Amino acid sequence: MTNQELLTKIAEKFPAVAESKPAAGALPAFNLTLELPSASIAEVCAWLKTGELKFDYLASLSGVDLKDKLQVVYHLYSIELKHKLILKVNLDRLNPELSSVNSVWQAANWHEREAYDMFGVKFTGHPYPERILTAEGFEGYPLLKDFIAKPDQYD
Amino acid sequence: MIEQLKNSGFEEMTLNMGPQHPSTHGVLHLLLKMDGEVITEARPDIGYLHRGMEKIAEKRTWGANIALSDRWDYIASMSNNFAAVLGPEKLMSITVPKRAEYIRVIMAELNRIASHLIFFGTYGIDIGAFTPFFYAFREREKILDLYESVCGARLTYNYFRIGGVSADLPEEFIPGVKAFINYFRPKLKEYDTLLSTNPIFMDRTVGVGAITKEEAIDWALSGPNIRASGVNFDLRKDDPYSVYSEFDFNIPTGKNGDCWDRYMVRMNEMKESARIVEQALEKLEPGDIMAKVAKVIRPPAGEIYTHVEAPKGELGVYCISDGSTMPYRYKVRGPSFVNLAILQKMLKGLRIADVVAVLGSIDIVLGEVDR
Repeated sequence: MTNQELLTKIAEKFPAVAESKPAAGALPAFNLTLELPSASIAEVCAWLKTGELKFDYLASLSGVDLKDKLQVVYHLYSIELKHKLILKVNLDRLNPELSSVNSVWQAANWHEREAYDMFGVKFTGHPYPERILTAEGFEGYPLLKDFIAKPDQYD
Repeated sequence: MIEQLKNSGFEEMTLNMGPQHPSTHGVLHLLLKMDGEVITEARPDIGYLHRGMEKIAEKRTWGANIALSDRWDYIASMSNNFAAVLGPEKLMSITVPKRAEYIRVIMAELNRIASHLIFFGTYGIDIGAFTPFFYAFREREKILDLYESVCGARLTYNYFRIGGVSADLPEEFIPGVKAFINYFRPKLKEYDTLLSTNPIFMDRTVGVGAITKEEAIDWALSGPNIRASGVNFDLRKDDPYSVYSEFDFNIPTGKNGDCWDRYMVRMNEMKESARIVEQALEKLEPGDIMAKVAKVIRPPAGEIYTHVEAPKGELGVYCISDGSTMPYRYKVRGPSFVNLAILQKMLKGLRIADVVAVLGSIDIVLGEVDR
């Protein structure tokens, strides 16, 4: 399925979903990239997986700090139909909250914990919303651009 | 069951396996809740090897990040190098010379053999067979010698460059690889007689820790783990990068998705990798090994997700460039990290003795899990 066909199919079902425009001077995205409101993420993802587009494979879920906002980026793939899609959700930097897609793709389980650990994004409905990589008692969210590392006993 | 036992003075036991345990292949901590010998809940606790790779990457130039990539999955550094260079190359629209592409494929496939050999050796030890370990490391040594002749390093190669590779092949390399392939082929049969069809080994692995097709996709497994469950998913075929579309090779798959299938997929993959290396050697012609690339790498602003089929599965790198000499965001989607997540589901209901068999069959490297 071409990117245009994908876009038409998704836009028919969810009018609020818009194609993401690259920033001024930036390269156009290599795959179809959509931006959607944070409230609709669970609904859109559930449809993408079970609907005719069959996006059954969550390849990657990343947090991104864009300084004025946080972004969560989903890289989706369909094993059967072999097409790709990128979803982006913008979040408020002060109170980043988003519903979990763990019930749609189990693979989101650790990815979401990592995004929480690194960016402080809270995923509501996650079965075990704990930090995953940083040490016990770690404070702050290290991948935020304004994170300042506290010197420890080795520094 | 537990209720009855509790009344008679027994209680559910919590068992800490690791972080220091020979079968965890690094520092992995498993928190197991047990009802007698049966596991009722398993929780992998990771992060002991977390070095903040993604944060460090934002303060290193694009070229320096190749050296950093060696430290993700440190037994398959060539594949990591591959993933690290594809993104910036595509952002800058660099065409890599043909010779460099074939050299890259040869290196990546030899690395696949080396990584699967480590799996073969250590999995034998996990199950209780000691001999395969020595066989596997004897063969791997020859690959490391070849790598050493090319780039001087035996583990952290730092061989790929944005636009090509760092050095041309020395004279003795091509005959060396040919000799290795001829030496290695018969060894695979030896492994089969040694371990693959060994009745004790099969007792421990056949039917243990089975993953269905649907589960494998749902948990986004990749590499031999998803193929063992019967899903024919290989990025070299499904989303060909570099020159992989030119080669003729098969994708081995399994049926039941149990530990033995995962083991066999890897054994068969080594045969296919040897075939790819041979074909690449034949296509190798004299020429440039580096494209014309500016001294200072400054990809235009933009973003890209590139992935390669590393020995352990889909190794993806999500790079965002803001047009400067350093990445704005450098997310690494390590296959080991994603593959390990399914462990909490697989272990439920198994016996304690199977933990090692299941964990070993997923084939993780903690350097990539924790990054």
